[in-house]
Amino acid sequence: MAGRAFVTGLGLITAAGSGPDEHLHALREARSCCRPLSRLPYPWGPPPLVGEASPAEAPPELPRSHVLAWEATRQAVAGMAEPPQAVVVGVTTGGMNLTEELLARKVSDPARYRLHAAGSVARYLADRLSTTGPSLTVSTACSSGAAALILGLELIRRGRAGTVLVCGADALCRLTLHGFRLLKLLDLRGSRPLDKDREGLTLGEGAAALLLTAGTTPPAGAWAELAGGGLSCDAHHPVAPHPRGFGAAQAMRAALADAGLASPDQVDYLNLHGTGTRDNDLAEALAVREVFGGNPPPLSSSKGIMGHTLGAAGTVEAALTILALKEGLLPASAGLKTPDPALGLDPLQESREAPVAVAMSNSFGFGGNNASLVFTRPDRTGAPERTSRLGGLEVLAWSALSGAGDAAATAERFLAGEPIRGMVPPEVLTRGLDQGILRRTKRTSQMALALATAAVAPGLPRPQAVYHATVLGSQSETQDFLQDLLASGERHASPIDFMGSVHNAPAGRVAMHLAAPGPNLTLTGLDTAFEEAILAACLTSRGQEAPCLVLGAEEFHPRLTPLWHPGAAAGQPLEGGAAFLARPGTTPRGLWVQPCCLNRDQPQSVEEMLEALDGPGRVARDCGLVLAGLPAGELARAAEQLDLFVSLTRLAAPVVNFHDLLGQTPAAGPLAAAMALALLEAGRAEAGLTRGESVDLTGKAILLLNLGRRLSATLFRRVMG
Amino acid sequence: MAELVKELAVKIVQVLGLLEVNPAELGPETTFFDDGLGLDSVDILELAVMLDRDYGVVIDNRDVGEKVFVNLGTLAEFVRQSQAGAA
Repeated sequence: MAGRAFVTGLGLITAAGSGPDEHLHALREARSCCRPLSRLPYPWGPPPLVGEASPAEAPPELPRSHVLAWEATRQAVAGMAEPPQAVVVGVTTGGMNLTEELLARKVSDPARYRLHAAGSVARYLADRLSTTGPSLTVSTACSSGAAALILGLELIRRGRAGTVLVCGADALCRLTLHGFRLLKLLDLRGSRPLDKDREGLTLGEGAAALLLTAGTTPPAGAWAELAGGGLSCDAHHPVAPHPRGFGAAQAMRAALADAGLASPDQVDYLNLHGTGTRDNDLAEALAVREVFGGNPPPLSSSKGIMGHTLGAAGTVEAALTILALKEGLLPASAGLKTPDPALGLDPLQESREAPVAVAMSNSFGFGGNNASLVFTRPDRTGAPERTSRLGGLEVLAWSALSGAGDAAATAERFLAGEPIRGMVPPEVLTRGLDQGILRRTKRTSQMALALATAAVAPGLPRPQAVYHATVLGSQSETQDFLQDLLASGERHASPIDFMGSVHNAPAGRVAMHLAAPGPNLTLTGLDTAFEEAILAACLTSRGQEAPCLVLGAEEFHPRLTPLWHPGAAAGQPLEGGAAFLARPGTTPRGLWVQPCCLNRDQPQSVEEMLEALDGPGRVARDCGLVLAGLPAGELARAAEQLDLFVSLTRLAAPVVNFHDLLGQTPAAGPLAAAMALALLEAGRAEAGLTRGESVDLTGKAILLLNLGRRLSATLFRRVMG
Repeated sequence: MAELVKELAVKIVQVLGLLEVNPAELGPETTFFDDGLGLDSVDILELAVMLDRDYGVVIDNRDVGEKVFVNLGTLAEFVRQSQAGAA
């Protein structure tokens, strides 16, 4: 395996059709494929124009994002002999379109919501593909699909996978339709990106999948090389872009540098984010002029064709950019009649043929989450290889919150082996947050802010990047928005709730609070979301060792959590989370956290996990304690895995099932990781915790395992010297 | 009108969670931005939802919005006129 990532498979489905050929045709024509909304009720006023996709098969029990994701994935992997080794999904709404139906009908059986969570799309794809390696889910609003490609690229560069299926997918649903309507960001007549009369965006839906293959030379039939990517955060406003396009310019510069381009002049085509809102297009134009000077490359937006496909857009537009590159096409900006002179750009008004060797695609999202990608023709000479190994995190400080209270109160109970339950006490949740923030945020965002504030104490280095793990996102805002919407016949709901409901709202808030301009990623896997956030931090640190904040915040919502999380219905509720202020690096030092394995269960998965941990002998020698998560719904399989693990390692160290103390709600994930640090700092595991002998942890590692359908292994140890 | 201003003041404080503001101290001259209530464009969108829900008044373009959201007095006047027009 080596450090270049070639695109060897490509699939997509949007309002413009299904598959590359139909999309190439749509690009050449640059005509709107948007039609009046038909799939969702719109009980007042004429239905707005939207870009609805038409998948060949749409089983009613499957959420539409899953259907679209599979349609694109199936195309991308056609003809592959082996399943992809890793899956990365960019998605914002997950199973929301089905969830809305179920909530409206007051369905209370959690089994019906099993595909609700954003992370369920990656699990669904990995299961259908039989992918055994890592699967990650990233939700950075409208840049999700592009951020997913950057994670895929880094998995290849770090030698974690030889093939990665990256999919961006999002289906139209009430939450986004009415959220954007109430924020007055929709142009009901069809978007006109870059036009002087543009009035907003048109929503679309769809999915695109790119198969990335590692290599030193282009494999036969490669479409393109994903040469580089750049991430940044505006750290400016929850939904509005930075007025001068500060973060957008940062992301573009980072992508150009990462691709090893000597000059921005080498870019032959730029696919803009170009939503058609007044603010986005203006900010992006300023950023483009700053990066490219007075002579930007030929550029256009594709959103006038199929609408804004939100979480899918980054991957959809990456696929379109690759088509332009492969076919030598400079596609016109659909919907554009009169370029806005205020933008100072000269967008393509007619599609034309021209050689394209290097192309860039921009995606910017709520939360100021920006991503830019650079694709080149696969035969480019002089492309740098950026192979490096995966490092770990040196934790400089950490915080935790739970029903027991702050980090000290939580650790005191956990280390004594006493169960932790309940909601975070209000005075702990809102400590240090001013009224201006409190009136705009609800539980998950408040928890993330409280965790960040506690971890980044005065005098400590400020984090540049933020990685947030959340399994179910901001449930309070989601519930309040949907309840108001459904109760008012789909008319009224709070736009502030919508802003707060997006999965990456808490991370965007934290970045604003800490003025963190670097990568800002929200990971929304299932029980391993926190492990995914640790991995994402290690993958995207780029060896710069700037401090980052890795946090997990999980609220317990009395109505939604038991419906949406299989473990929450069983046992007592717990909410809370943890934050690590950390320095990524490759040389272990200090309180060191090493992500080792994040795999899907299969017959050899325990053996493979042990291999990732440098063998059973090493585990037996180094580990003073194992914190193992055996999820309630997968208990039999998890117990089998644990037995095999213990027998293969001949483990003498005690094993603590952290769910016994932390319950089965999503907060258990980040809290277990924080408790591993608390144990290292205490230097002992007392008999109350181990239910046996007390253990001296001096010089020992703590192994944090998640077992069941998805296995993760993370090592925590103190490195002396 | 004074009654409507008073009613709107209470609703605005409640809808936006302005805990530090006493609605009784607000009057027709109270402005929405900067030195007045210090609101931003997202707050105004929230208030637009309230106006539609509680008064059946819709503000559907930016130009109208800019004229309406000057101070509590201009807002109350717009609500009164819109309701009179609809009746």
